[in-house]
Amino acid sequence: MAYHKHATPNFRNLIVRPMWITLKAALRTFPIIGRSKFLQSHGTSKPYHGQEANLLSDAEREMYTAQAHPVIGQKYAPDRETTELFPHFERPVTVMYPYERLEEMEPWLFVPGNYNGRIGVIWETCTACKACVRICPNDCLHMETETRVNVLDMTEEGDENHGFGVELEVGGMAARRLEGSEEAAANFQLSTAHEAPPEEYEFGEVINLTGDTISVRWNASGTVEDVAAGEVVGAEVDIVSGRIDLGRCMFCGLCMESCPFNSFFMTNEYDGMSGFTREDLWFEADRTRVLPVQHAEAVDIELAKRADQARKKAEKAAAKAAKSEA
Amino acid sequence: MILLATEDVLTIRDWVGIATDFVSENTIGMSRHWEYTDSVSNFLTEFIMCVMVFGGIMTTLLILLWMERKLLGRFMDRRGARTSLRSLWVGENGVTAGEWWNQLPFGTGVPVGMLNQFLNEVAGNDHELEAVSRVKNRSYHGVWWMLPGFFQNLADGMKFLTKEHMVPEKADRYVFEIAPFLIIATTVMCFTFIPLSPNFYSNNSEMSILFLMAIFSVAPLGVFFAGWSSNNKYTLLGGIRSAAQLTAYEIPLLVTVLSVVVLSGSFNLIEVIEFQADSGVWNIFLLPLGGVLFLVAMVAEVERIPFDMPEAEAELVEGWWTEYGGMRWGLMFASEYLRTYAACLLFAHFFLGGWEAPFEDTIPYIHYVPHILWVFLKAWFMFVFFVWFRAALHRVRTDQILEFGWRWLLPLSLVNLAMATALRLWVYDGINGEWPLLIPILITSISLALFILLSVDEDPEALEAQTRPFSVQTVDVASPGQHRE
Amino acid sequence: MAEMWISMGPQHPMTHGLWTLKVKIDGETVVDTEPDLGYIHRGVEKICEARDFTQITPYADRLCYASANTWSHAYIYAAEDLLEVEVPERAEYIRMVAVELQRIASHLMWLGAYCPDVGNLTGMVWCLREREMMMDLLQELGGSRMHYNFPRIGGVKRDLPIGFALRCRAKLKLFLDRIQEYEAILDESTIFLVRTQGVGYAKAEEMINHGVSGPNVRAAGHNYDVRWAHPYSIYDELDWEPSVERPSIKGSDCYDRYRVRVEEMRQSALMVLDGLDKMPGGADTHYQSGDPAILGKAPARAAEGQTGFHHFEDSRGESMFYLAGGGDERGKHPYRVSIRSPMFITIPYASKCMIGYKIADIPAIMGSFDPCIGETDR
Repeated sequence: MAYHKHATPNFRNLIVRPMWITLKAALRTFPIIGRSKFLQSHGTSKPYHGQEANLLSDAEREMYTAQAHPVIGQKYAPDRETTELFPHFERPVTVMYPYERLEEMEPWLFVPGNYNGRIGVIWETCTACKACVRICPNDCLHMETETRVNVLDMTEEGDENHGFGVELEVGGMAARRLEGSEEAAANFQLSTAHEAPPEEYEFGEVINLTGDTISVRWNASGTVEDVAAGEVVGAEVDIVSGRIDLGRCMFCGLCMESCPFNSFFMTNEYDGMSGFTREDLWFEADRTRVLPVQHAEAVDIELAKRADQARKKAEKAAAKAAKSEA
Repeated sequence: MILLATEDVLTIRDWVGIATDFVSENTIGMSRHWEYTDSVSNFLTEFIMCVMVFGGIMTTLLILLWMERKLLGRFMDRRGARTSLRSLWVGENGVTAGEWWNQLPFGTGVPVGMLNQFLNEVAGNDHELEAVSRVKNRSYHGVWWMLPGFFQNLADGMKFLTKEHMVPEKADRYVFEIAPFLIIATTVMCFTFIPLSPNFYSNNSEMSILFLMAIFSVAPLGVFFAGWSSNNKYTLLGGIRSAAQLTAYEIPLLVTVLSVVVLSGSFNLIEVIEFQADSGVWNIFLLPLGGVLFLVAMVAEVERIPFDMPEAEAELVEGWWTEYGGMRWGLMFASEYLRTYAACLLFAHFFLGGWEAPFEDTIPYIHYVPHILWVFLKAWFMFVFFVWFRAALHRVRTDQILEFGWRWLLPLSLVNLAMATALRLWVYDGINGEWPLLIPILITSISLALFILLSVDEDPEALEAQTRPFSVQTVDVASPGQHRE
Repeated sequence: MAEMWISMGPQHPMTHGLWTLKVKIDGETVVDTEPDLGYIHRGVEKICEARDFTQITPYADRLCYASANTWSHAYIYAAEDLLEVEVPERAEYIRMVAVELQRIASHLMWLGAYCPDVGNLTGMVWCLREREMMMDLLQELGGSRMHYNFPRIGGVKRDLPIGFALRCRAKLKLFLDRIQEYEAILDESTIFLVRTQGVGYAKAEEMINHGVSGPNVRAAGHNYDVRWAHPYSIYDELDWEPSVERPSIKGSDCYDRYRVRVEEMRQSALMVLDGLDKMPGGADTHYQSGDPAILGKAPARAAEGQTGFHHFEDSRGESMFYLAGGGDERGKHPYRVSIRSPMFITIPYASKCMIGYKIADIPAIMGSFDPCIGETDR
C-alpha cells in the first residue's frame, strides 16, 4: 500500500529522517553555511522522472538577460533565496514588511496594468460614457453627470473665443436658451434666494444635421423639433463627481477592460486604502491617482486618438464640401 | 555537610548567609529578642535563596521561550518578527504609545528617553514610511543583533494581566479556581529542589529527588480538575486524555529516575551530581538508554509535540485550559514551559553531570567558569532537542501514546533499571570511586551501534518490489458507464 | 462514560471551512456523525442570474477560494458551450497553465492544512512557502493572489507576461525538488504513517455509488479523471498520466488520498512545463490583450432555449456547470446557473467514513478528503 520508496513505519523514520530534514531546513536559513551545496534541495538528490535538476541552462540565461525589458535584467532566484546585493546572506523567505516591500524586491509581480490594485481614473480623458458603471458586477462606481453648455459657447458673436466651444454633431447634445432666462438670471439673487437658480438652457439630442435646420429631440418633452442653426449651441455631458466604493470593489478588473477611452486603470498599489469607516472607503476623484508615467502615456494615447478622429472628421467634411461645391 | 569535589567561584548561599547574619546580629541581636538571632538569620537566608532561585528561573525562562520561537522560525524556514523591542515605544493605529517613559513618576523615564534618542541617532533607519517614523522615533530594524524579540514574552505576560478572568456559568466554581493553583504551585515548588550550583539552591533535603518527583506528579491532578470543572465537553476530553497520558508516562519516568538513583547511590540531587564528578564519567555514557527514556517520558509529561494530544488544536482547540483567561491562563502556559525547563534541568543534572564542566581536569582554568552557567547551558542545549522534536514530528494519537508508554517505555525502563543495578553492583569500584574507562566507552559504542543498526534497517529488495510508478500500469480511457461492468 | 454528541464547528480550526460536524462519541470512539452544511451559503447561483456572462467569472472564482482558477475556467467552458464560441489554441494553453498552477496551489493549501491536522506545524509552513511561489506565478498571470478573473469567453484576459516562462520553469523545477523534502517529513515519518495508514477506509464502489470523484476516488483505485476520460481543452496533447493508487482490499485510507494528491502536484508541474514547451507562438512571445491570438469573438447574448454544460476536473473532483440562456436584459443574463460541486457530494460520504475510528482520527480523515466549504455551500 505504501508507494513511496522509504515509507515504512520503522525506527529510522521515527526520528532520524524527519529530524534530519528539519535540521537541513534550519541550517539553510543561516547566511554562509546555508548556501553550501550539501544543504540545497537539489544538492544531492537524484533528479525526478528524468528531469534535469538544474534551474537554468546557460543558453536560457543568455537568452533571457539579452532582452531589453527591465524585468529580465535581474538575477532571478526562484525562492527569494538570495538577492543581488547579498548572494550569501539572504535567507529565509520572509519579507519584512513594511521595511522591505515586495514591489521593490520583485517588481515583475507588480507591473502596473497587470496587477489588480487600487483603481485609478484619469478624469481628463474620461467622457462619462458610464461603460465602467454598467460593467461593474457589484455597483461600486458612482458617477454623476450633467449636461452643460461650454462656457466658450456662451460668448457673443464677434468675441474672439466665439465658435470654439462644442461642435454640434449627430448623437451629441444641443442646447437652446430658454425664453426669459436672461432676465431671470439677472434678477436672481443668490444670497437671498430660497430656490435653485433658474434653468437657462433646455437640452436635447441632435438627430439630424443635414440641411438648414437641425432636428433635435428635446429631453424634457421627448418631441422632435426642427430648429434653425443659430438657435442652438452644442452641449456636452460632463462629470460632476465620480466615486468608487472600494468597500464593495472586488478588484476584478472588468472596469479597466471596458473603458474605451484608456482612462480607467488598476494601479499596482495594494496598501494605503484602509480606513475606519465605510465612508472612508469611498474614493473620490482626488484619491484615484494613477502613476505619473501611466497617466502621461494614457493621456497622450487618448488625445492622439481624439485628434486623429477630429482630423478624419474635418477631412471628411472638407471632402464633402468640395464635392458639394464641385 | 556535603562534600564538594570542586569549588565554585560563586558561593552564593554563603554570601547570603553572611549578609543575613550581619543584618540579624545588628538588629535582632541588639534587641531584647536576641535569642532569635540565628533563627531569623536562617529564615532570611532561606527566603532570599528561594527568591533568588525562582527569580533566576523565571528570568531565564524568557531565554527559553525566546529560543523556542527563534529555533522554530529557523526550522520552519521563516524569520519571526524582530521588532518587539521597537514595539515598546511606537504605537499602532495612529495612537502612539510612544514615549511612555514620560509617564513614569519622578522623572525616572528621562534616562530611558535619552537612551532611546541615542540609539536612534546611532543605529536607526531613516524611513519615510509614516508607520515607522512616528513621534520622531525611527526603527531599529537595522539593529537586529540587539536581542531581537527577546522581550516578546514579557510583553505577552503583561498582556495576560489585562485580560478578563471568566468562570463559565455552570462550571464547578471551586474546583475551577483550585485547579490553576494546583498546577502552578506544584510546578513552582519543583524548583526548590533543583540546585543550580552546590552553593546555590533553595532546599537540599536528604531525599530531594523523591520530593521532586512527588510534587512534579501532582500537576496531572490539577489538569484533570481543570478539564472536568469547565463544563465543556472538549475540555473534559482533554482532561481525561491528559490524565491517562500523564499517568501512563509517570511510571517509566520514575523507574528511569530510580535507575539513576541506584547508579549514583543517593536520593539527593547534589550527591547524584557529585557522584558523576567523582567517578569521572557522566551518567549518559553509562545509561544512554536511560537518557533517551527520560527525554521521551519528559516530553510526554510536559505535553509537547509529539505527545500534545490533550491540547491538540486540531480537535480540541486548546484542550483542558480552554475556559481560562487572563493571568490564570498565562501562568498555566508559563507552567508548561516551567515544567519543560525543569525537565531540561533534571536531564542536565541526572545525565549530563549537572554543573561539572566537560573535561574538567584537562582544560586549565575552566573551574573559574561559574557552575550556574554550565547548568544553564546544558539545560538550554537539551531544550533545543525539545524544540527540534516539536518542529519535526507529528502528533501521536492518544491510544497510540498510551500503547507506546505502557508497551514500549515501561519494559525498556525496567531493562534500564536492571542495567543500572548491574553496573552499580558488579562494575562500580566502591573503593576507588571511579569507573574503569573501558565501561562507558563500551556502553556508548554498543548503544550507538544499535542505533545505527536500527536506523538503516531496510530491506532493499522489499522496497524495490513495493516501488512502482505512481499511476496504474494499465491506463485505459474511461467511458461513460464503464464502471458498471 | 455515556455516549455524547459534540459539535465541531461551525468555527473550528480543523474543519477546513465553516460547517458543523456533530459527532457522537463513546469515550474516544466515534459512533455516529451528522454534517450540517450551508453556513456560508451566499446565493451565488441566484446572484449570477442578474449578471452578464462576463460578470459571472469573478463570482465563479469565489466559489472555492482556494482553487479559484479551476472554478472560473469551469464556468467559462460552460459559457463557451452556451454561446458557441471558438477559442484560439494559444489561449487554451495559457488556460491550462493557469489551471494547473492553481491545482498545485490548491493541493499545497490542502497539504498545508493537513499537516497541522496530524500535528506537524513545520509541514504547514513549508507547504505555504511553496504555495507562495505558485501564488507569485499566478499573481503575474492573473493580477492578484487569490481571485484572478483570468479567463474570458473566447480566450484569456491577457497573455503570459514577459519573462513568465523563465520564472515559471525555475520555480517548478525547484518545486519538483522540494516535493521530495515534504515526502521526507511526511512519507518518511513513522508517526505520520501510523496516523494515516489504516484510518478512514473508503471503498471504490461505495464512492462511485455516492458520486464521489476526483483524487478521493482515484485513491481507491478507480481511474476516473475527467481530463483523461473526457478530454477537453488540450489535455490530450500533453504528456501526463492521471495519478491512481492501488489500494488494499479494505479500500483506500488517508495515506492513499495523500499520495494521490502529491503525485497530482508532480503531474501538474510536469504538465505546465510541457505546455510551456508546446505553446503555439512560443512561451516568450507576448500578445496584447484582446489580440485574436488569445481572445476569440464571443456574442454577449444567449437566446431562450440555449443551454451550455461542461464538466471539469476541479482540484477536488468533478465540477459541472449548467447554463440556460434567455434571462433578463434580452438574453444578456443567464436564466439559470446550476453548479455541481464535488465537495457537496463528498462531505456526507466522508462523514460516514469516520465512524468506528477515534476522535483524533476525525481531522485526519476529514482533512484527507480535502473539503472546501466555499464550493459546497455556494
